[in-house]
Amino acid sequence: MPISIIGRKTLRRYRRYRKIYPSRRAAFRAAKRDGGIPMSQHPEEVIYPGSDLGGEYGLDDRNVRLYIFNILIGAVAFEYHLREDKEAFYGAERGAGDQLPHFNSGKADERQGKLKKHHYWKK
Amino acid sequence: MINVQHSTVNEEHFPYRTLSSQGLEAYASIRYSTLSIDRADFSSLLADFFSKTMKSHQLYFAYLEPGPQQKHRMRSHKKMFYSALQAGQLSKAEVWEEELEVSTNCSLLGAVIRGTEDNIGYVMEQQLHTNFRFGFILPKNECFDPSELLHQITSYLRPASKLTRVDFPKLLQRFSVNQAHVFYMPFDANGKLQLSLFAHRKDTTFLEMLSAIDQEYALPQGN
Repeated sequence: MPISIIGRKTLRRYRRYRKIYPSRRAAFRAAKRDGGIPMSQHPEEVIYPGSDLGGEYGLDDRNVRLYIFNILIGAVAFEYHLREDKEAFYGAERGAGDQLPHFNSGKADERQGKLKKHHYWKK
Repeated sequence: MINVQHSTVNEEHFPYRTLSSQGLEAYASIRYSTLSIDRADFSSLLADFFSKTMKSHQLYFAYLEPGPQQKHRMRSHKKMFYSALQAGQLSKAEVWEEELEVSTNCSLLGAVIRGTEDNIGYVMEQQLHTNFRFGFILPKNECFDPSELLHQITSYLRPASKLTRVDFPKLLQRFSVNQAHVFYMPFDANGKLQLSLFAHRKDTTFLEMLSAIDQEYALPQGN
C-alpha cells in the first residue's frame, strides 16, 4: 500500500510494533533483551517439533524450535519461552495477515496461553 | 465451548515413563482444551471446577521452580510466596514452602497452596503460571500433610529432564492409595488452553460432578 494512503504516522507505528530486524540473529538478541535474559545466557533446553517433548509442548509444522530459558523474578526462577516460527502466507488480498519469520516470546503462562512478544526478521 | 476428551490412562500417555503402568488403571483421563480466543469460557470452567471441588474435597496446588538456583540468604528467607503472604493475598495457614537442597550450592524452591474460598480467585488469576506443576484433590476427611509431600517431591520428577518435569505415572501411583485425583495444565506453545485431569474411578461423587461440568461446557458431539 502506498505511504500516502496509510499515512506516515501509521507506518511508523506499524514498524515500531512489528519489530522487524535485519537478521535472525538480531531478532533473537532483541527478543532476549526484551525478556531481560542476559546475552551470555544459553537456553536450558531447545525443543523441536516431532520429538516427544515437541508433542508435549504442542509444537507443529508452523514452528521451527522452542528455546526455554530460566529467568529470575525476585528470588524465584520462572520459565521464559522463545519460539521460532516459520513465515506464513494466508493468501489474503494485499497479503493481509501474512507474517515474516519471527520469534514469539514471553513468560510462559498456562492461563493466558499466548506468547505475546513478536520479533520479525527479513528473509 | 470446551473440547472434552475422555480416555483411559495407559502407557501411551507417558512416553517418558520409567515405571510399569500398574495402578494407573484406577484412573480415567479427561482433557479439557480450547483455543486462547475462548479464554473466558476456559476461565469459567476452571472457576466452576475449583469451586465445586472445594465443596466436597480438599484442593491443593503444588509449585516448583524450573531448575535449581544458587543459594542465597534472601532467597531462603523469602521462598516462593513472600509478597503474596505479606500482602494478605494468601494466609500462612494455607501455604507450605520448602527450600530443597539439590547440591551444596544449589537449591530448588517448592510450595503447596491449599485452595480455599478466600484465596481461589487470587490463585486462579495470579498463580497458575509455569511454576504450577500439578494439583491434587483429596477426599474431605483425608488426613494429609503437604510438608511431607514437599520433602519427597523431587522423587516424583523425571530424572532425565534438565528442567523440572513431573513424572505423572509415579505421582498417580502414590496418590491412588488416597483415592486422590490429580490435575495439571499442560503448556501449549501455540496458545491452546488445557486442563488435564486424572480422576480416580472409585470416587463416584467426583465423577458425577465432572459429568455435570461436561454437560455445561462440552462442545456437542459432531462439532
